[in-house]
Amino acid sequence: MLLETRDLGVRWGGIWGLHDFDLDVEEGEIHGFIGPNGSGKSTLFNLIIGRYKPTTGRVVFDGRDLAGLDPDQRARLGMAVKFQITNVFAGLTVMQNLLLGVIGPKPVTSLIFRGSKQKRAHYERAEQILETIGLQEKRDDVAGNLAHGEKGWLEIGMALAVEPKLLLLDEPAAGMGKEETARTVELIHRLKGSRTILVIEHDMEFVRAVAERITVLFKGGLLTQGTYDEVKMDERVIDAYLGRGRRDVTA
Amino acid sequence: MKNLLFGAAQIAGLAVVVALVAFGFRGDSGVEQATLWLILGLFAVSVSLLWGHAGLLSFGQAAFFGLGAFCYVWATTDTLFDAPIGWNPGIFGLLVSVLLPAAVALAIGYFLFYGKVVGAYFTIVTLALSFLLSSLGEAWTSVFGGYTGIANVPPLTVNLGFTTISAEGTWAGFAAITVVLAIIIALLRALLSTPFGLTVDGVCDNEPRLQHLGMSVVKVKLVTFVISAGIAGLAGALFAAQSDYVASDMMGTVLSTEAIIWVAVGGRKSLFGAVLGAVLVRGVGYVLSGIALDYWTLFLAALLLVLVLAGRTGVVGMARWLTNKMRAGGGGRAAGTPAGEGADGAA
Amino acid sequence: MGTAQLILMQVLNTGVIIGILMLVTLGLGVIYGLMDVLNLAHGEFLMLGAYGVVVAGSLGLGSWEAMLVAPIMTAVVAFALEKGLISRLYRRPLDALLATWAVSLMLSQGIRLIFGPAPQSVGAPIQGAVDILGLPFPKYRLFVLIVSVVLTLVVLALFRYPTFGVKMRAVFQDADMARCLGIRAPRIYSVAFVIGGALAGFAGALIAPLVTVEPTMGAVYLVRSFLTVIVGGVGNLIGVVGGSAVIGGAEGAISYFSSGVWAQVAVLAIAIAIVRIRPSGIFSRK
Repeated sequence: MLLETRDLGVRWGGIWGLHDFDLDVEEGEIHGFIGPNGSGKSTLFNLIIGRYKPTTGRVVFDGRDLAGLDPDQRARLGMAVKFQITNVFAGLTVMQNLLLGVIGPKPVTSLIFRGSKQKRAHYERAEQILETIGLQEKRDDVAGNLAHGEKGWLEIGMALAVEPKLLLLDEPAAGMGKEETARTVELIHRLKGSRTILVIEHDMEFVRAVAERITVLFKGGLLTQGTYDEVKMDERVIDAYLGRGRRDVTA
Repeated sequence: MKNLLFGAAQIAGLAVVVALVAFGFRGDSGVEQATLWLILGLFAVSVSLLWGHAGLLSFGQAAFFGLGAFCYVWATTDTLFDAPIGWNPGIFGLLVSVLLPAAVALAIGYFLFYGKVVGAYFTIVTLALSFLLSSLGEAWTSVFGGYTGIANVPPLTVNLGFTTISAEGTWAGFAAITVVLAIIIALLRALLSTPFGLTVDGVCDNEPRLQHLGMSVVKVKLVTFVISAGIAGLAGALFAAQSDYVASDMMGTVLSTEAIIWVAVGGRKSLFGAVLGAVLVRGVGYVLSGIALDYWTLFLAALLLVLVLAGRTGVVGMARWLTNKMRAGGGGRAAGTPAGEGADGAA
Repeated sequence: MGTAQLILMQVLNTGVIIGILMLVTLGLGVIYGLMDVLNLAHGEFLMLGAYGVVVAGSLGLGSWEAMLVAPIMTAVVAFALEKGLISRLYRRPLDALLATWAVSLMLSQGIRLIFGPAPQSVGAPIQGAVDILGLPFPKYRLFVLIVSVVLTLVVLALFRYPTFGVKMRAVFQDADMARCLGIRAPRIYSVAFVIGGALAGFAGALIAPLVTVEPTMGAVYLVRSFLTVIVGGVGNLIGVVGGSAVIGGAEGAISYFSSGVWAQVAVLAIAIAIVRIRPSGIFSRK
């Protein structure tokens, strides 16, 4: 079990962003998360990576309780994230963005004193990832000038550079056209097996193409889990997405 | 390596030009003033490192400058620090003037950065610290010389056994300072070209993103803060040695914010630009006097306002942006905002 | 004078510090809470208020008239500043810091050019002392204490008053939502800024007879005010009052035992410690 959450919850004011959340993710799995807007998907991710502090429950990663750990400490344990709203170093080039991903988990002092010797290794690694995400032509472009989809791939590339055991992708296909989405699906398939991936998405076709197991969230809680086909047929899921009353019409 | 030598040569060239111009205006005393401007340029370099590169705006950088100046005085006049036997008091003084401010920066930075005091709050705290340190200095006469300061600061001399190098004479002082400035800038450029330098850029550009990539951003900020404090302290000591005088207002907000103006004028991310800005502003101020000088200060404040509103990065930034535009013909890579100009390596 | 009387005098003087601090910080805190703008020129509003009294005096106005005219002059400057600069800096805190610092320099340098660097002297409109429990305490100081506290309470009440007060609180809490409800945020910002400036100007006019009036006099009040905002918490006015009490009170109490500068140093240390422990301020609701 690579990732577990038990009773995980967070409350702001009077509202629970997430509550009573139990999750088990196996190593090597690709796990999808779906649910209407505001159901708590991004909140779950933010709790895992340490952006939010939980009100209840805990997150256990690789056998280790993450309570009290800062985001950079968690990242060094082997997790990386691609955010819902694309988050790159807008003023730096694509290559520099990837390099920062490569050197991110390294200790600061080693970068000062031994950094120059290792520069070549860093560059090679960054080039590899550049190829994987298919942005070779843009390597010296300023990241802020990239198209939306390209920024998304760049962010995935940065997340890969960290060499994570766990990769969290929050809406990787958001705002992408058909071709770009297909490319993204292909990219994720290429990553399968070597690492565990959690994917939040709204695009159902995307989720079906990519995820092995799916968790459905609703109003901050876990609604159901299963394979795509199981979940698709589940009445509760249909209710959640379409609102109550649908059942009466179909019955 | 070539890059570093070029940087050193650039600075040396600037220094020589400035000295000759100053000599043209006011002879020997002009050169002495020019030497002081170069030292202030070193101080500006420390501000460029902290603000231009790491994005940390401090209104209190002069606290380290002033502290360095006082450390030099205390060490060379044996008031607070006694030089160990056999040590050259001047070199010892310089050492203390680097280490003490660095240690203070370590303590303050540790407290503030680990306490997540960031952004505007950080700036305000530095403002308050600087203000209070200079008030304290004014009040604590025995140590800081009060309002009038301390004069008769021993100049820098190094006894190498077979010869004595002294920074005392006009041109000797100028040469010594130029050498020091060139060395420090070369070292800094070397540092900023390591992967560490890239993380500094990262902290400035998007700190949370860097954190989620596993980098201990607090450490990056702390290291930058400490190094810039050390450089500021060194500049302060050199200033004391060359100008024969220290006073509490050298630790205050006036000098801190002046340095911000120098860096804003010369180009935030450019170390060369920082020196250029300091030399330009101080140089013009030197030539003016009386009422004109007061108007000059007013003009500088207005200039800062304009620069902030326009978001441009000063002389060097504008120059680079213009040449990029001309070269690329209005399109192509890295022709984005002028803020992108510092991305490909420092200065 | 016995110890009890010395303490009483210190308490009353501390009261004056707190009262003035509240007036100055109200403006600063509201602007910061509303627009995320830290106005480093706010100390200059106080300075302009003091110089306003000087100008009014030289124009032949009496002390009382001068004290009313000065805040009006300051309000005009504040209005111009808001329209011309501050409104462009909303949600840009770091740029706002630098830009307002530049303005602060321009203002103090400008006043220096007009009036010269030497301190101006301003006479107090009320002379003489009043007897409080055997202690002779200057009448004017007592007047300043009372007026500043009363005025602060009046302004706080204004925030409860329907129409303006409620609108301001709405904008404070959620500007976008307030806009949806038809509240014109820019107007609110403008009014709030001008009121804040006028209050600081009035504070300056009040203390002009008590302190050294020179172009850089605003700095120490600026620092105190910021510490008050940081310590007291952003987002509510109780924070302003509470923070003023803490900062002003600490400075007053400590300066009883040692000199003013050490008191300021100690207060800064306390403020930094508080920020570290409770980053959003003592009285904030977060």
